[in-house]
Amino acid sequence: MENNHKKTYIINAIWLAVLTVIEVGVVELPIPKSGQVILLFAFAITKIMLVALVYMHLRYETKFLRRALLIPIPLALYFAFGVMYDIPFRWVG
Amino acid sequence: MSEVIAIRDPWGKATTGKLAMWLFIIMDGLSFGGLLIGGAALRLSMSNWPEPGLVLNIPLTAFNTFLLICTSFTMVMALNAIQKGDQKGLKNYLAFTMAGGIAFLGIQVYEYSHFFLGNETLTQHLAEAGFVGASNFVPSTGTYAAVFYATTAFHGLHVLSGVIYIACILYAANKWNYTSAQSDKVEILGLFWHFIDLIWIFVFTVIYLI
Repeated sequence: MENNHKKTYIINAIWLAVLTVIEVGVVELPIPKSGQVILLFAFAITKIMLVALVYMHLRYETKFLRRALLIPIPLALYFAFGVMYDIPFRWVG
Repeated sequence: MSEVIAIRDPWGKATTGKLAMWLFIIMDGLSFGGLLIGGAALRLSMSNWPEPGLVLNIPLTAFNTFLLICTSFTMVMALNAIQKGDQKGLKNYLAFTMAGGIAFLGIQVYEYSHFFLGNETLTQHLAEAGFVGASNFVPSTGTYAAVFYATTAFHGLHVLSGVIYIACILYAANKWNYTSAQSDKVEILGLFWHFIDLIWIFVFTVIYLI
């Protein structure tokens, strides 16, 4: 059981390192900036989930605790985009 | 006849200390969210923003990211060790984690000193990035520099706090010989350290790569 945990932690660290290398490679890809941004955010969110679920043991917590921690994230993004929406219409003196 | 009612605790086995750390992490995460979203809003309102890697050193920071990932692994192994009652393993893994945190800070100080002191290559890169005439890259160089320093310095302070926190737990583990009964103290420390790693993943993506 303990060895299984250790193996999981090592595999997780390898995945995190590999994803970091891929992220650096994405910057050099000859694709539009918007595509790069989508890919980079996808990789960043994957890495964050790996850290939170495996290293922070969130996957072993109760559903209630997981929901209490994860639900505010989309809400925060909603508010952020709500605030940023007015940037194109801002008054420039 | 009395009836036994089973009450399921919605928090499971989480201790109050652990819940308090999660609460702190949420609040601290919002602080970082404010910085990163503020930086993104400033960026969207600017017409000129340097391309990734033109001013900031991506390979060096990618190595630093790798270093932080390694410390997350050693931290979770420290918890694994004390849960089995392995005191030596706990101390060794905590010492490795602390050394990794110090190395991360050292690389960040090196990066900052390189920017503050400036050199010909940096001046050339700054000119290409639109900062014509700037010989060094300091917070007053422009909005880009201000966003970079505000975010990375705030994160660096967290790493420093984490290193001090590890030193305190390491001292306590040495003095009072931690057993598996005290593993929650290491788990709470681990949550904070992994949070620092988690935030760095976002900082690296938003500040360095995009």
